[in-house]
Amino acid sequence: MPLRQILILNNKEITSGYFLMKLSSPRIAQNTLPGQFLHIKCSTNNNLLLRRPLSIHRVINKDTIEILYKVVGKGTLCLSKKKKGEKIDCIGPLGNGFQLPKTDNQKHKTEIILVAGGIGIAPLIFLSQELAKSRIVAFLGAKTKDEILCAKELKNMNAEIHVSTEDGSLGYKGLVSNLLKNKLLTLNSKLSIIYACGPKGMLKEIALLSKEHQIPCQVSFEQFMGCGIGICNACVIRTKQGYKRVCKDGPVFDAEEIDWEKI
Amino acid sequence: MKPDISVKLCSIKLQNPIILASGTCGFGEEIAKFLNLNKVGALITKTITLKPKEGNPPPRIAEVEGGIINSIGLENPGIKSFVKDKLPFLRKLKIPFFVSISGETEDEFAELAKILDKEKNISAIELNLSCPNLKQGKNLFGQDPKITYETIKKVKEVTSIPIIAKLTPQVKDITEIALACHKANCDIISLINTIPAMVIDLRTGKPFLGGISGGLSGPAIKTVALKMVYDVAKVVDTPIIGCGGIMNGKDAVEFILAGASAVSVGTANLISPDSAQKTTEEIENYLIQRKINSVKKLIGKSLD
Ligand SMILES: Cc1cc2nc3c(=O)[nH]c(=O)nc-3n(C[C@H](O)[C@H](O)[C@H](O)COP(=O)(O)OP(=O)(O)OC[C@H]3O[C@@H](n4cnc5c(N)ncnc54)[C@H](O)[C@@H]3O)c2cc1C
Ligand SMILES: Cc1cc2nc3c(=O)[nH]c(=O)nc-3n(C[C@H](O)[C@H](O)[C@H](O)COP(=O)(O)O)c2cc1C
Repeated sequence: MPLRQILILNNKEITSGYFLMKLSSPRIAQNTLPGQFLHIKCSTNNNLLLRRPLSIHRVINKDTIEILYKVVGKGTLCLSKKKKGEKIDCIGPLGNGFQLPKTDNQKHKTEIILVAGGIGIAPLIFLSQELAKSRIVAFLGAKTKDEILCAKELKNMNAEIHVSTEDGSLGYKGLVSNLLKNKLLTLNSKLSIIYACGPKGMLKEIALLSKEHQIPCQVSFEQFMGCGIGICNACVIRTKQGYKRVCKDGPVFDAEEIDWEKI
Repeated sequence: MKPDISVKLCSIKLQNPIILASGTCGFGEEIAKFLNLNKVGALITKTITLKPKEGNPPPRIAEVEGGIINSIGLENPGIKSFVKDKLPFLRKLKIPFFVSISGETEDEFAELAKILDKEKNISAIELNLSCPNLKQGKNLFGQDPKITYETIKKVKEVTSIPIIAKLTPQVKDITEIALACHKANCDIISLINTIPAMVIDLRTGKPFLGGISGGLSGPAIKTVALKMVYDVAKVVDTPIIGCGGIMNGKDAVEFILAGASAVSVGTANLISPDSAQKTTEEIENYLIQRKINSVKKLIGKSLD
């Protein structure tokens, strides 16, 4: 898999501090799975040596993909300043994505529960695209209503949407894990899967709930990353079988696999 | 005409001077998806220990000005699993590969070397002397000329595979250590390993890395490494692998001029797994531009 200079088709701020970047790459668009990421060189500056992992947010067509990112530091800041027509150096798609129900029949029967904490929504939209045949119930959590992203896209995919904000500016006031907890008591589908992406604390709560309700659960992790391709062992996470690499063995893990006590 | 970029490290012939540094190319398999390994000079494996090591808690990497700090903590599968699961892939390569080892005592180094001596195709064994000697508290093997000498001697007694001593920069005089290597008939000297460093996380007020501190690598350490290579080249005629902050062909040429017969690249591989290929091409271009027909002519040129 060679490195590629990829053309930026668009890079726009969709709400304060959040950017949507459209990239032209038939190779990536046609070879990627939900949950995979790109490892992006945000600058050639020596103070920004490492690449930054960003999820494939959406596959628009066979040539074009999108990433959705939040500006949190110098890498994402540099990225936000890139203009349409520039090229960026991306490796990928990398990592193991989400496990999907295998057959159409299974997809049809399974109820998909998405749980996103903040920017954790990024990979879940691509996942929803691939699960268009399933019933999707999405739980979106963020600090404030401005950071609730992609509700419209999900609605267009006929998803049922539940929103929580920490400041109560939209939907349920509190953590998305608490919102899910309340709703799980009323959901009674026999065949469900939870897919979650967000901060570690949230993932841990979701994992506990999934265990309690015996719903299979897959979680996508963030970790400070080095190479992104499994050689340096920097981005490890505690599993029941010892440390595993988020970049190569993940970023998606079965919630059962993770050693939540030690995380 | 294309210049000759092949070099020799004692009896080992390398098609070009670029070696993938220990810990930054794993055991070859993953990086091979991005880089044609048969085009690099050589590869050095992640450091192997007698028992598997699980390494430090995350975060294990931080980015700082001009470099990165890692605290992987020598995570590795142990020698047994290395021989069984990793060696078969390495053996299929057409390039020389060196196995990096580390022990807690001198005898442990020898024990590891003895195991590797039975295995075919290993071109050299690199002793990672930047690790603590359990008998000496927190001191590193490579901080004491006597211990460095003893360790190399003990290893040389049990194997005929060429030995590389990889030195730590945490010393008061690197030439003392290099002389000890020379006296012990060490075949190759490799330097430098990372420099201890840390990051404090202002949000928590605590050390950022799980391992508290780690090793600095990348452009920030290049000039420190260059001086050490230069100093060592002045006092011994043992072939040198120069290492530290090499990001491109120009950096590599500087190390060769300072006295290195070959160079190893670390951090650059983590940033772009195919960087070795680019660096090699840049060395070649440098030679073409200057009309120099062989890279060997540059070795140690700055010492003249
Ligand atoms: C598989 C994967 C997929 C991801 N997908 C997405 C995505 O789709 N969208 C998205 O927005 N994000 C995503 N992320 C997260 C994203 O990679 C990070 O937000 C990004 O790398 C941050 O880079 P930065 O340079 O902007 O910030 P950094 O400068 O790296 O800072 C990130 C945060 O860590 C802190 N920090 C960094 N270095 C230090 C230090 N030395 N000491 C103390 N604190 C430090 C900063 O203060 C900041 O809060 C993903 C992560 C992974 C692992
Ligand atoms: C992530 C990482 C892991 C490393 N692991 C090892 C190791 O296992 N053994 C070793 O001798 N050196 C190890 N090193 C040090 C490198 O081999 C090299 O000496 C050092 O990084 C300086 O070179 P550079 O600036 O080109 O990276 C490691 C370096 C990094 C960045």
